Amino acid sequence: MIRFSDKHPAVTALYFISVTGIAMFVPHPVILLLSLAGALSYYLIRGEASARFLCFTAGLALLMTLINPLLSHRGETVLFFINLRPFTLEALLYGANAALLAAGVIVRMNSFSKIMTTEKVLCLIGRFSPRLSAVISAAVRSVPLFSSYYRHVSSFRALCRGYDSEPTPYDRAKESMEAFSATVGIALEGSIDAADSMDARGWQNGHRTASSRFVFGQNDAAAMIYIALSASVCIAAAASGLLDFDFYPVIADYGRGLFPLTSLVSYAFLSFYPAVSECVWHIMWKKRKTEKYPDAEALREYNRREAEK
Amino acid sequence: MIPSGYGRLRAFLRFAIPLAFIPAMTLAGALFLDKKRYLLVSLGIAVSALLLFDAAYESRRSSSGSAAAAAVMTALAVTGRLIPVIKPSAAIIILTGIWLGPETGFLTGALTALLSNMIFGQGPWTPFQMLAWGLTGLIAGYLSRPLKKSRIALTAFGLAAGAAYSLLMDVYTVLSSYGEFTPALYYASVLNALPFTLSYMISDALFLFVLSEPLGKKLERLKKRLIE
Repeated sequence: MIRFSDKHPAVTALYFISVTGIAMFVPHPVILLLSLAGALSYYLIRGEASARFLCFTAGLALLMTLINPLLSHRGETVLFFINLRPFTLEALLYGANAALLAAGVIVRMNSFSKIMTTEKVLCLIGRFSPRLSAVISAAVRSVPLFSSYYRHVSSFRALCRGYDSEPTPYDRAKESMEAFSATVGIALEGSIDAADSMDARGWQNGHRTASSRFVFGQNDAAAMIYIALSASVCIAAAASGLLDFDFYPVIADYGRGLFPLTSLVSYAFLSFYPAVSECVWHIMWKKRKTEKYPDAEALREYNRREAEK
Repeated sequence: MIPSGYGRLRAFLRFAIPLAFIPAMTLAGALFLDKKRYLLVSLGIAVSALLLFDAAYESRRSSSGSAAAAAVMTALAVTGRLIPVIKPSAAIIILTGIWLGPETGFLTGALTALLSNMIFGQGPWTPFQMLAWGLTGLIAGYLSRPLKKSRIALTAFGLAAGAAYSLLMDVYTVLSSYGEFTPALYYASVLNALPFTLSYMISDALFLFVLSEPLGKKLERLKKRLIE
């Protein structure tokens, strides 16, 4: 059992592209609800949830819901008038639909950014564009390096200034500009060395190889097939117009029958895949641990009691 | 260079993307898809444009110096984006374009968007941001002669670049959140993003005005030493 976030980068990329892609291009309310629910459940199960992020997303969704009926006056069911302009139910629901989409994509992409680290991106593009990968890895390494240069330079300058007088905001701004300029100087001089060393290692000669620590196993292949199958059912239903949904002039759902229902169920399978897989992983982990160390829990309890005494 | 399987693929893409993929996507979008699929077509074109740049960048001979300089400038721009409200990123990208050429400018801009979004959050907006910042660097590179000469032109370019970036991203905002493009929705989203637009314009112009002298001198020196 491999955790969802530890699967091969190709699986991660395919999953996030297909799940958000379908949500973005098939704006059926049920699909968007499933997308948001799946994204939220995985976000919460991963245990890195922040209240601020959730509040921001909810606020954005509320704003989007309310802005649309104020700007768009299409739709048959008029709820009330604002400045002689109709505020319609259809426009409100259309806005809510757009808000669901935005919230789903934002939450999903938050998880994606945490899972898809730089070395995974490099693993994906390394063979196709080795030169770009070299530039990316050099740049990624340099971000913390330059921050530390900047801290060194500015603390040294503060020391030189002494403690005689309190610096004015202008002095502070000037000082940080100078520290920044010095950092740039160090960085660019370093890049000349880096270029020389790249040449010494054969920058222009022959072809570059790429290596990564990720191995594409059977588990990944199975996950790929699962994702591709469940996504293709949805795409087939959407392409044949069975998942069309109109808000204007009146709400109309064209998806009747078994096939649209099947496609919605398969989107649910797709959307909840990481959350379910994470849950199963946790359960298995706990089970294996108790199988291997049956008395671990009892021992911890005993130690706790001893410590309390 | 030994042509490997990937080398052949890159050579194929360099011709196939501009001559076949992009026209085919545009035509298919216009003829077969209804207007709610604008975003699908534009996302496809954005991604293939970036792929085209990548294929070309890998295939042509470029010096190790310009690659190392692009990495350094990207790292500086990414670090700059961490500063709240006034961000020197775009100014750094513009200066890179002016002093190190349009290709390095585009590369720095696109990579800045890609790498800083690792911190700020990736999403379907990443290809558009990469293109917008990449184009900022590219255009600065083509206009390098007048921009090097006068500081006023440079500041004006900064104002224009900040506004253009924001207006371009507003197109994406409208397309992604409402699926359709109407002038009313676009004006609303431009108005909504006005504080951001102003902050981009002001920080671009300010940092270009302040940084052009010291950073330009350093980049000039770098170029001289790398060519030697």
